[in-house]
Amino acid sequence: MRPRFRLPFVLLAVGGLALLPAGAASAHPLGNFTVNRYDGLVAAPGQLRVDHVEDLAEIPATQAKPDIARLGLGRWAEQRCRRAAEDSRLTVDGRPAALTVGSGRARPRPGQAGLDTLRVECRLTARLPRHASVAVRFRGGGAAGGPGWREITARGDRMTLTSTDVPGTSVSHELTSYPRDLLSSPADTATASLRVRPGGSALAQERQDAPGAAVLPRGADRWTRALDGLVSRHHLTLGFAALALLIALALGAAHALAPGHGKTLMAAAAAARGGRARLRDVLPLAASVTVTHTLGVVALGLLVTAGSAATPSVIAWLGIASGALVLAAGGSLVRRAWRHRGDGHGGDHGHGQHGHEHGPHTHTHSGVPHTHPAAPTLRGTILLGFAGGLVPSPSAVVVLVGAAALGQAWFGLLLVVAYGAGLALTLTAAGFAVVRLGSGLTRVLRRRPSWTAHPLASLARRGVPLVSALTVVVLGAGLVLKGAATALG
Amino acid sequence: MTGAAVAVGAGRGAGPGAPVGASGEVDPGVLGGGNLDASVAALQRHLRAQPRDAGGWATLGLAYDEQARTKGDPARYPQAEKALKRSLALAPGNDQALAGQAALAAARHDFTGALACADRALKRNPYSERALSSRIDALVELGRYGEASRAADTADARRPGVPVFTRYAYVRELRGDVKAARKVLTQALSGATAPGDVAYVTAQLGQLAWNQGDYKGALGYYARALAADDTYLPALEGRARAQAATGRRAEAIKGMETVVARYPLPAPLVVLGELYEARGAAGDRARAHDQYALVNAWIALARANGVDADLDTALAAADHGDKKAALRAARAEWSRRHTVHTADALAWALHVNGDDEQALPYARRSTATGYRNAAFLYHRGMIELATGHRKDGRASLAAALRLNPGFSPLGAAEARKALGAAK
Repeated sequence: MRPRFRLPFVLLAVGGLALLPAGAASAHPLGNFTVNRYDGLVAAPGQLRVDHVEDLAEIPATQAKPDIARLGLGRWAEQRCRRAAEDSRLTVDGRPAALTVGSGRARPRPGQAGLDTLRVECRLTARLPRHASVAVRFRGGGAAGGPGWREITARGDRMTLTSTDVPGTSVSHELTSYPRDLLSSPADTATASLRVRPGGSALAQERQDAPGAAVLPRGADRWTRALDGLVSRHHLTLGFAALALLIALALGAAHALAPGHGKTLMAAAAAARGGRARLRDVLPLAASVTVTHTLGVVALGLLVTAGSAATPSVIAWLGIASGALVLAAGGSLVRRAWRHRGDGHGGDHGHGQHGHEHGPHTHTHSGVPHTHPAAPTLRGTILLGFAGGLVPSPSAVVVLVGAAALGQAWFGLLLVVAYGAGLALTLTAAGFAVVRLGSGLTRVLRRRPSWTAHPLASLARRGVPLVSALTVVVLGAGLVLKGAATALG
Repeated sequence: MTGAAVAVGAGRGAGPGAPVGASGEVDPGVLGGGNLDASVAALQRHLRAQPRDAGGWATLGLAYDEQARTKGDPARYPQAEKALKRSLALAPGNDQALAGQAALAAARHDFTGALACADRALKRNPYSERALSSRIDALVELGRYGEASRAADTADARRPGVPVFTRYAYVRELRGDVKAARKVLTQALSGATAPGDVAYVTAQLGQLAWNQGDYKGALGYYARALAADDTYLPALEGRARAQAATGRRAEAIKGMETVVARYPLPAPLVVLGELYEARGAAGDRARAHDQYALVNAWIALARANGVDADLDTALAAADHGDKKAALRAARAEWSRRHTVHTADALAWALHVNGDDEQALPYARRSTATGYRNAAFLYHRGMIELATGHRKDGRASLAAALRLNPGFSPLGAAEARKALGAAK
């Protein structure tokens, strides 16, 4: 008993140690009372477009709440954009030019402590002379404001920038992800001066995405956000922690109910072992899934927090690896089912008819003594569970990273473990259901021996393990192909 | 696998074409004067080319710390910490990095850590100005005023200069020796040349004058501070308070609105809120209420970060926010360090939560060193009246109003009312 359970325990302990307590990190990257500003200049024929973005942290967003309540979000955004246009200074060929507000909108986003941050996006335009080279000088609004990121970029759309003192691409991806490089400072560019001339390539309408965005669900689903909100809003009392763990368990179980989480795999694997599969055989599977899933989530969470650009490809390669493992497991199942197909036992040892006992037993077929192992190999079970839990669920990663950002990394880890346990619960239930179904069917067949004698029944009995094993192989192949398509596509 | 992926990812991030500038040594002394941002940029360029320069990393850490302090941007502190750690990894025990760690710890209110780091730095280099200053700061903030005074004398003997003088003056002021504090600060001012230093020292002089009720003098000093640096937050705030105390309320409100728009920290929020309430024009109550709501937002943010609100927030919340959170925060601060400020905050928090008997010894302790602060005297007077010590309470309140009647528009009105009622 001891050796079997030591390995998962060690794995869990190592996984826990790897998660060092995070320092106090605020959700808003540059502090809770900063207003970050970004101006993206685009020189088009006859028009200078300024994409003005403001990112208000929790405190300035709360400061703006009375005005938003009074005016409504849309009108407040327009007023803010108008003020930004008035504050900015634009000179074209030495002559001041006016900026008009095209469109403005504001979006609240959840921040720390149940407070919202605000993202204001404005489109400002000014007239440029056509068919001539112009010199443009731009000074961003709010230059004398408090601390915060100030960034200006400039690009040309069917115009070429012959000289510019600001870069073309935004380091912060338009205030969506701030670089945390040790040798970088928050941008503090207040002015930009460019020279543009007509003619050039058109601007591709691409929005730069932050590296983690492809991995994590955009706007994580409602339940994950609710859990995140719960964790951030409350003091971590024991009662509340227990409640949150239960919720995480339920979330994991519900998550596994969705298609594509290995239930078919588990069911097929259980069926492939024949009607002798019992609860005791399915449990190591469940434990293996939980541990693998938790470790995968932790590893992915570390990657995301480190801002590694490799994260999306890691997920894809994990999918391929998982598919390969499933393929291997399925292959071994097929081989075993094929070898035993002619036995006539087919996994169903009618106790009354043959008088056999449980447990390994020897008997002879065609004069060759051999033994059926009554329980499936532990290594095979764990491997299958490993394959099942290999691809971490993005919502679990979101919960972990969110909890770590709140300084409660240990609690986040517990939540993820509960989540994985919930996953395992559903998968176990699926396997268990198949097992029970199988034994129920066996009992029904025993009561109607006439059915057992039917040639179709014996064909089914012989064929079911083989067919289920083949299903596992097909699923594995499917996973590999899907992962390959994502990784290489 | 994780490590390799992180390395791969990071490698992809660093683009080619980063300008390879001439990397020169950057003298730590440069940080004091001149353009701090330019120095930081130069240091970053230098360290990209010479990543094994331990002294450069230490200087960068100090520079980030300075930037955080002057810009009020707390996001630089983690960067400063990492830079100093890198410096210590490259040259273990180098005193510059240790002194930087001491300053950083002090900025983050980890005063025991700051003291330990400062002592280690001084063991290596007894003349390190930054370590000497950080040591005084740590001892003052831990409430060990005797040792702080001795440390200030030592620092003055070894490295007289603006940083040491301002701390020396503060230690004297905490003992109630206002004349000596003023003399030392004036001496520091005569030696200050960099605009940042001039702004800092004149603002300190302004604060000293304000504490004694000399509003005209305070306004003069604050004007000089703003002439040196017109965005210097303590000078803007101090000027607004002095204007309010001399009856120029409209200018005061305008000034505080500018401050709060840029730095919506708890202390300026409360000042502005109280000014609105004192003005009492149409809609002012709602405006004041909006400012106080932000104080509760600060408390929520602190809790989300897993820490208790700091002293400023606790005092603001005691009057205008979540009283229970204020008491919790004040108790936490007191358990960490026993200074006159933490004693006063705890006393007042206990008072607003109705526990005046417990509050009295803390209030007495806050005024025991001789520190002349009208707010402390007001708090003590209100608590003494509430516990039935009428004579002492009236004496304290009268002393507060004599010393600095403008210490708080609402507080002064309350003090007068209580004084009248207790006659």
